[in-house]
Amino acid sequence: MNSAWKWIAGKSLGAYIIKRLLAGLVTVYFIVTGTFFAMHASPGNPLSSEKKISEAAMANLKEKYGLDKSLGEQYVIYLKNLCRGDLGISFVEKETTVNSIIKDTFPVSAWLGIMAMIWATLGGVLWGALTALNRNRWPDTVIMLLVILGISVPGFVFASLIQMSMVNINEAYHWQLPIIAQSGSLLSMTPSLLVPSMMLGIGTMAFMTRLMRSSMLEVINSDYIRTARAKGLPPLRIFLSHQLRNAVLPLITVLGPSIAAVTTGSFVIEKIFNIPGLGKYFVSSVQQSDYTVIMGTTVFYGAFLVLMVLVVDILYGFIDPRIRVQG
Amino acid sequence: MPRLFLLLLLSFLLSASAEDECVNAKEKRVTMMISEDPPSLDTMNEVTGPGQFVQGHVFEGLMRIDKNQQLCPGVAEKHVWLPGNLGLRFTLRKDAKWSDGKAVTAHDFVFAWQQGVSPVKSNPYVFIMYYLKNAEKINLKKLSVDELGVKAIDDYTLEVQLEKPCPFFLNLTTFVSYMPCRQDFFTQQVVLNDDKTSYKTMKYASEPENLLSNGPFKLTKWEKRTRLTLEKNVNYWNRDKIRLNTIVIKVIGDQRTAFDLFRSKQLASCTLTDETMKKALETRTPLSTYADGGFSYIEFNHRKERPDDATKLMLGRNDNFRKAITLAIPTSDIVNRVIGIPGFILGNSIIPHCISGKKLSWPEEHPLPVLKPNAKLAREYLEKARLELKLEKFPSVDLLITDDPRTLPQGEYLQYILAKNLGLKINLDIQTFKHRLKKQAEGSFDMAMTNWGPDYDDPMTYADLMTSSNENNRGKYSSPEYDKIIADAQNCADPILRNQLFEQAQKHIRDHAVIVPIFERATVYVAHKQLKGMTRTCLGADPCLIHAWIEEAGK
Repeated sequence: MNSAWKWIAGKSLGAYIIKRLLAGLVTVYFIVTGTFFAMHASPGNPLSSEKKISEAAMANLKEKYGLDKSLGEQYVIYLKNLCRGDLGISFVEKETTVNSIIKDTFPVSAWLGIMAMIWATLGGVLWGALTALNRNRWPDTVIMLLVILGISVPGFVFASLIQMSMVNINEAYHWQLPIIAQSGSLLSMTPSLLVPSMMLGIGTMAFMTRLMRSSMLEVINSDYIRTARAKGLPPLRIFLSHQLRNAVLPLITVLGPSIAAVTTGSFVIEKIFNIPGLGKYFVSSVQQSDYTVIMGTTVFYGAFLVLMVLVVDILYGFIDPRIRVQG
Repeated sequence: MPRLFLLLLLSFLLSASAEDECVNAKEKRVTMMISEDPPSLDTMNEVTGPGQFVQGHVFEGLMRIDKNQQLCPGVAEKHVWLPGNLGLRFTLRKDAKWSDGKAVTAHDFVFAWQQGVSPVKSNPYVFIMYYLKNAEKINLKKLSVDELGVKAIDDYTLEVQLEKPCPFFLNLTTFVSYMPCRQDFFTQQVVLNDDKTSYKTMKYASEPENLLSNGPFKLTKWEKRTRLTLEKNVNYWNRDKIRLNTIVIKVIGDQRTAFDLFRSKQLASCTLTDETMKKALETRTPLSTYADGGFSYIEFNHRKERPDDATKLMLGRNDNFRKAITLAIPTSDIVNRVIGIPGFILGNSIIPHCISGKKLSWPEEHPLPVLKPNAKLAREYLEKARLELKLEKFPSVDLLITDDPRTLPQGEYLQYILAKNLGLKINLDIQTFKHRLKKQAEGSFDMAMTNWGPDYDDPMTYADLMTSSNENNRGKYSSPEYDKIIADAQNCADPILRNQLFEQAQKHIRDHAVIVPIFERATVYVAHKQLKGMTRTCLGADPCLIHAWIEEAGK
């Protein structure tokens, strides 16, 4: 740990973070530009509906939302507002700012995602280590079979199945199992989020199990483990401080993008369990051509992803002091 | 150990479910759902299904629809038509109150309607107010809002001037866009920009405290994206007739989840999809249906040229071709075998059964003979078309459809049946909803599966679809004869003559095979057996719980 702290305090890290943040800004800028023009190039606009709006009303609306200006002008205005942290007003949820949509819904998705990641990481490490230690024996076979199931079957299938079983239980025993998220604060919501978070984490857990298994196998057969054994260290100590710590590294690599993906919400899981999260907006905004929300969610997701990858890269230094920043 | 863990988990889960039963006879409470959070509860803005459900319960217009679907007095006690039928005078009841206890006056209607047409408000649903004198000109910024044809003679007398005869104006006053709004309250909630052409902040109807209601219920809690709570409005003039105390409205995005909640007794009623209906039938849940006003038809492209492909032969312009298509499609097969949902009605006239007549529905009082599909006759018409167009063989025809699970099989069926009965090759052009609309509006199609829903309870809401100036006439059918019939009906104040004109209109559509009516849609729903008196309608607040009550269990 000590070396990591020194490394953090060192000059190279500060420069490294600034360099990475700048690179991240450029990435986000390209995301903004790409999304903006792709979105405007796709047919339909947020104001179109089955019942055509009269020319006059349409003109008033376009003026209200600034859609009467040229695309270039709109782009410049958007960039300006973005720099001020203003993501605009949703076309669909009238008078609601995109900022407030993200502010209201992201914590819910993030909390669900964190719960899912806890399940997934704990499960992944545990099952992965278990399979590696029992290689080619029955626990390995059974778990790997389940893992293949978990990877190939999408989480919402399990989600629907478990929801259906809960409904059947409710019907049969007159219980009141929460088949959807309860309303209220995050804390009061938590019990009802248990099942959804497990379902959300299944895919990641399966993936992590496989990753953990292969990296654990590599570690088990390495020289330093043999040395540790030869020294006469107790097996539990070897497992915890030598095998686990070394094997867990590749997991950290996928943790960043996984956290970004999972905490920004899952459209399907949120829909099935009726969770008021951000995931819905990634899909519904595109379906409804809600320009500002498309941009807002994309920019937010892009920036969050870039940040999480950076955080993970820094975390590396803690877990494995061997990894150093070059240049 | 694992058993203990499981027990703990279960008790934790169960602790989460302190939610009450969906119906409670003692507390007179019912739990309902909407598919999405209303974007706004501002009645002078866009009209949406979920919004209308809430607005219909918290507001009351001059008139309202009673439990037998008939017009009855709302805020207005009496009304008289002014000479020439170009205006009305309403006398408002003196005991109508806002939820803060102040009286509802004629000024509140004048203010709300002026806001509704004001260009500042940029109301997308403004067309529904164009029946008011000068409304369109005000919206086009040619006149100021004071020129709108509505005046408060005194606090309790409202005089309305109409742009042209509008025999269904009383129906319109039940529509959300015609709800009142009190000026002093509204102006507290909004701040105008310096140039006075747009709003800087707009808080009206965004939270319960920013909303003033005059209806049977008032909004007491709005947890965004989760649920709304309506409580009985103790200031409502007709409060003794309201038997529910609380309506909890959960926002449930997924129809399947909604049905699961219904089965778990956490929802009192929900609408079924094709998928959940199968489940409902398996579990023997009693189903109910109602005509929701959706009218599905095939629109032809009547343009001279297709913008995306100028070489394409415009078959939709040929009368005999359209007649051939009409006769070749057995709509009963689509309704009974392809869709197979109870309650659907075969499409026949352009004016469907959801429009009411004097006593029965309009089509029942003014029937159009049912057209029998006839493949042989259809082939004769097609042969005539071939000779007229001097063709060797018909080119393939593009059928534009939306990619939703209900429309796709219909498209495939049409592809099959037209190939079988007429030997035509149909290309399915499958698009998302918005892309379908766009392609249809610009004219890049030969035939398109189209839907229409009513805006008000009058044949005109469907009949004027096919006039050449209508923006929703995406096939650009244009007939001076038809335009004249509709223009005459629009300017006609005599109800009998007007109905005759509509009879002519539906006959014209049939004789020229302008469209192919396919079906009138129905919605299937389930409801808790203790919930009584709920009505479902295609217009206004749907479902309507104003006259509903909860029966004691075990009766």
